[in-house]
This record gives sequence, C-alpha cells and structure tokens, in this order.
Amino acid sequence: MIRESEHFIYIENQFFISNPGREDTIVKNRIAMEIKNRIIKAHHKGTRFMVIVVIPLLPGFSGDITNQAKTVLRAQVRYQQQSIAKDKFSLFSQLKTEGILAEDYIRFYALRNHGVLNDKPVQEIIYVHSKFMIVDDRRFIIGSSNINDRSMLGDRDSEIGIVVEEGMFKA
Amino acid sequence: MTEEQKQIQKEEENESIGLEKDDLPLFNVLNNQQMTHVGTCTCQIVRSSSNWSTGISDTENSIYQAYISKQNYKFDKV
Repeated sequence: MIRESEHFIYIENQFFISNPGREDTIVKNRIAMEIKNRIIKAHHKGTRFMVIVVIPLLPGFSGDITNQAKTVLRAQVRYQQQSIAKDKFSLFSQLKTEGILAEDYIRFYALRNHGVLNDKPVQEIIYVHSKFMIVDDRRFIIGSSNINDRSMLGDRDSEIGIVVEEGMFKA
Repeated sequence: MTEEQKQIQKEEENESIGLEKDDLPLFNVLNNQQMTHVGTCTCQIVRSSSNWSTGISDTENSIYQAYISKQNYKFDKV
C-alpha cells in the first residue's frame, strides 16, 4: 500500500525496526526503504506527501537503558535508531543524502501522559500497542503484526491482519 | 460450608464456564437477498505463516507484501 499512497500515511505500531536500504544490518524487512523511496518520488515530483508514525518512547523490555550490559532493551533501541535517524545509513540520513529534509515528509511521535499521585505530579509513557496503517484515508491494514522481522518475515511469528479498501462513495 | 454446599457451588461454577455447543454462534453464508447492509469496501485477510507454525508448505508473508504494495495480492470483493 505504501507504493500506491498518494499523499498521507499514518502508522501506529509498537515497533519500527525496518531496513531503510542498508547492507550493514541483519534486519530484512524493507518497509522503511519503501517509505524512503516513496518520499524521494514525492520530492522529485514536488507533490505534498506526509508520513506520521506513532510508536512508544521506549520498547517495553525490562532493564535500565543506561546499563552498559547488552540487554534486549538496548538492542531493540539500537535497531530502532538504525532504522529511523541515528547513524549515516538510517532513514533520515539517507533522505539527507538525497538532499531532502526528512522532517518535511516523515515525523515520528511518541506519547506521555501525566497525572497526580500522592499530591505529586507524575508522568508515564503511553505504551502504543496498536498495529495499523492508514493510507490516504481510503485504505488501511490492521492486525497483530509489528513492524519488525519477527512479525513480517512469515517464517517466524504467526500473525493475522485484514486489509480494507474503501470503494467510491455514491453521490 | 458443608460438603454438599461446596459440591453445589462447584457445579454452578462449572456450568457458568462451560458453553453448550448449541449456544455458540454460527457463521452463515448469506445470499444477496438476505444481505440488508451492503457496503462499498473490499477487504482481504492477510497473514504471516510458515511450515513450522501451521504446516503449510510455503512460507506466507502477505502482511508484509500488503504493507509494501497492493499489487502483491488480490482483493476479494465483499
């Protein structure tokens, strides 16, 4: 659906671990690369195009993020950073190499909530657990699969989803 | 609580948990005349599945294919 998108993609997912078109990683699924190619196409055509991705601030694995030990949490964060914006082959960096300011076309968001506990202000991550994508307000896919290799490759976790496409409205 | 009361309570609990086969909803295939609400959507079930998980011969990654392109699978009209 990413290839056929015309102006807007909205993604909510628990993860964003995807290969933006780099050889130096074990990540196989190339959803990020498809998004990158779509953005480059929009940029060259001069059309308005926007991708919004909502993910959790931190993957939900136990452990201290500042602990130097090789925990699952730190591995997940590393793969996510390699997918999105952290080193020179990430999605954002590759767009920059193409002369594109990534923020003009794709933005990642995460949520926090706040409240009062024992008369003190507290805040906590909103752990996004949705797994869906809406394209141009006309097509969507929703299901159990995260954006990572475990869910996407097929020969690992079993997942199910449904793709729905709105037909033409009758006047 | 006497032994008898305990037994009755246990039976009641079992009854509330166990569903009779006749109570379960059935999926019926409707013909066109029976369908009163007809939408305009097309939809398709997709899955990630493999030999080790469901016994199919070829690995299927139609969820991934659907994310990438709608050319990669067929829509069924609903």
